[in-house]
Amino acid sequence: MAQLALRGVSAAVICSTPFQRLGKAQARVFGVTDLPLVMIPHPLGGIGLEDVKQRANHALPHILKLLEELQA
Amino acid sequence: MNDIDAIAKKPGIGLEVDDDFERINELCLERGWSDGLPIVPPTAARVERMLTFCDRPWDEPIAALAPRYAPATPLRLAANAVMAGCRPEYFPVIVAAIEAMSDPVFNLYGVQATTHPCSPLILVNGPLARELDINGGANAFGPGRHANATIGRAVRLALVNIGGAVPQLGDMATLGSPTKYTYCAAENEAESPWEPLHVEHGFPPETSTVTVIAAEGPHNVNDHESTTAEGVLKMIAGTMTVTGANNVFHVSCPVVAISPEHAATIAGGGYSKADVKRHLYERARLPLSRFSEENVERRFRRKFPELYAQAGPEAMVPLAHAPDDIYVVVLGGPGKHSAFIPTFGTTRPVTRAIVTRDETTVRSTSR
Repeated sequence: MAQLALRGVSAAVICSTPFQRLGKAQARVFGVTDLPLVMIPHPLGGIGLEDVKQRANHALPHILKLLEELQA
Repeated sequence: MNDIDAIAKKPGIGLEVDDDFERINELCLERGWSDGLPIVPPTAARVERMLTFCDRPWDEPIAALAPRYAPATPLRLAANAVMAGCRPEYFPVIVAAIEAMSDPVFNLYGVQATTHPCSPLILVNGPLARELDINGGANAFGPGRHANATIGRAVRLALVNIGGAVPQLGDMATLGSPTKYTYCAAENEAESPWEPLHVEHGFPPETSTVTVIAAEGPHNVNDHESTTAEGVLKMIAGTMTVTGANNVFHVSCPVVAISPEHAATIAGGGYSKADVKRHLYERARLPLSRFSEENVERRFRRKFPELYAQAGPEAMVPLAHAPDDIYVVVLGGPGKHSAFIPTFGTTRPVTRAIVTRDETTVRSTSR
């Protein structure tokens, strides 16, 4: 994602809550400190399809908003 | 530039603090430059002494350590080696281990940041292992030997302090492992009936090597009863067949550490090391029925559809995808215990010769 962002592509990372600090640190390491992180509730592994859909529904408006902002 | 005073004056390199052991240790803990145990303060004099066994420019990066991708220079590595309590003659082993871990096939980013409890197992082969007194005999993975304790700790401190594998920040391990403090041993070549690991991988016997393996802690194989090669190997294969090891879910390289007594029984049955690998490859398998339905559907059928899309509950899942993917080493002392060492997936072990910059084999007196 960092490489996409550096190439001017609108990009964001979807990240569950315990991984937020790692995500921010990695964005800094790769030189894209403003790489957006879209946070979803943890966990992502070991959950059913309905819970996956819930997380997708949670993330989707944030992603659309970010895309609008990045393309503005 | 190999002038410790000049390097230490560069911004972000040196730090002036009172010469107070307790205060320096508190500072390291506060800043996250620690594994939680007391460290030896890396003064300029100690770091310089460590670097007497380094023939490279002290500020020239050897590798960029993930996930921070910070440059691992000899100077920084030496500081961590001092902190770990290493003797200067251990330093070439640490440099070789760091170089080995920077090979892309090792996947250091994954190894460092994963939720899995892996840590680099550092296996040393060749004459240097004996010269440095790296234990491969009784209690090889246990306490008591200075080289094992401090070489492994130096590498771990470098991975934290340079690489950024700070718990809950760059190291996301769910449970972690005591092997994240230190995990270093030599192969017990003297009591092995087979060619040592480095010779198997094409190095001359007189070359010393370091092999890094992203591994869990060892899981014991107790076998006091088998008197045949097939019996011992059946018990090892039985121990390997567990549903929770990453090795069943990924193409990976599990490790089997065979004690000298078990190795003698196996070799006495006419088994070469290649035979052992083939035997374990064929028998260390477990049926799909041992996995939860969710794992069968969501892991095996989707990840390996060519193997399991239509497979029934009797279909067998191997611990390794090829005989040579199983790493077999002889380790330990007297007793009827061997070990299965599960490993992380999406990584391969890397073996590197311990050499000077001009490729000369390092001996303990090289400086």
